[in-house]
Amino acid sequence: MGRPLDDRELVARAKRGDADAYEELVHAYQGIALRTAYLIAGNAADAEEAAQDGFLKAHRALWRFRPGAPFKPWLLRIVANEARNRRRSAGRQAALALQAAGEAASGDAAPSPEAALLGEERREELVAALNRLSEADRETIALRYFLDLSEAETAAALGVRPGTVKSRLSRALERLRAELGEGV
Amino acid sequence: MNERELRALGAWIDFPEERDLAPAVRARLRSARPRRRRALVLVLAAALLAIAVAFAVPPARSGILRFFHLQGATIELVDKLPEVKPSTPLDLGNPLTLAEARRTMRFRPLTSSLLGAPDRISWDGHQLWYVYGHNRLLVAQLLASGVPVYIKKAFEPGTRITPVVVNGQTGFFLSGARHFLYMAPTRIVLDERIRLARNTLLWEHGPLTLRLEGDLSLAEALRIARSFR
Repeated sequence: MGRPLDDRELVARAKRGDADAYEELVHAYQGIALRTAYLIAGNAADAEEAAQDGFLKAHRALWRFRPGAPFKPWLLRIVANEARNRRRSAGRQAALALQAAGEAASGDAAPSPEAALLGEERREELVAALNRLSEADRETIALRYFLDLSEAETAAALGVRPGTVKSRLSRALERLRAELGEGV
Repeated sequence: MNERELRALGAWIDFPEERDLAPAVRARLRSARPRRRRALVLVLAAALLAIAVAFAVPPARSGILRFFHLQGATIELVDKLPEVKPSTPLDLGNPLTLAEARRTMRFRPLTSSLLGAPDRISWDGHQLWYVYGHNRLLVAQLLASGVPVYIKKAFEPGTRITPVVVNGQTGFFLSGARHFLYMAPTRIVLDERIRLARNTLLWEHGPLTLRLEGDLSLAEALRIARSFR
């Protein structure tokens, strides 16, 4: 069995019209695309539509994708724009919600040791404080930490320069600490 | 609160259940295909016309005498232009607003402090078009840096070509006799005699190559071009 194709090869093949190659890219990134869209749109149905439309738009725009560039941030920027458009047209504020009590973290059979360390009360306190932040602050923190995106990927999803993410994140964390009553 | 707590919190967020998007994406790509096929047929027809035109002109009479390069564009002086019938008005693509253009383009669309907001904006998949007045002035913006030649412009000896500098970058002003615009990847010939038959300024601005077309003198064209930032 051959080795799995990397993004660069898949993109090159998709550009030449190989639908299977593009489907592999969809499979590889649908999870992160959906979660990114959800954090921005704040609604599961809109998130799914935004992710789907994002994949379609990315496919149409493949001709201008710079060969050798990373595919993930480029895709996330498109998906995030789609999600943002939906949130704007719905006139809705996105808010974070925790899984219902009793559900395991991320649907795992057992939560990871890190996730398990966070008690229910603390989770609720953190989410409430995050929801009191501005959309921009909440998005920055959520994309960077909940999805574990790199600074470059977070920047792409937010549509800002990578250097901006660092300062934006630092200010957002300060404001979150203030909301939690934890002195800076 | 620390970053570790925030990473841990991510696992407790109520994300929607992951669904396989591939079948829906594939189906929607497939349903979009007929339109693309029609477009492809048109492109092929135009390409065939271009090839036929190229063959119709004896090679010795259509030799390239001299050329000028800009990023994404080549301007060729030929001793004889192909004879093509006037084409229908150029399709400038899908209309969009400036806000949409700013949001969706991979480059920052430039605007002119002199001309103000365009009357119409559209995107043809390659170039962002601004239309002022009733096609009195056209401005096209192409993200040209690092891309192979996309625009080819051929002109006859009767055409005057003047090298210019616009905001410190290279440009060329084409005036006088006929010149044709080719879309290089497909060799589509766009006959500009009917659509414009006017003067053209091509210039670079950062990663972009811009084209301004209209009944303009060199001084007027330069003044407008310099106002695009």
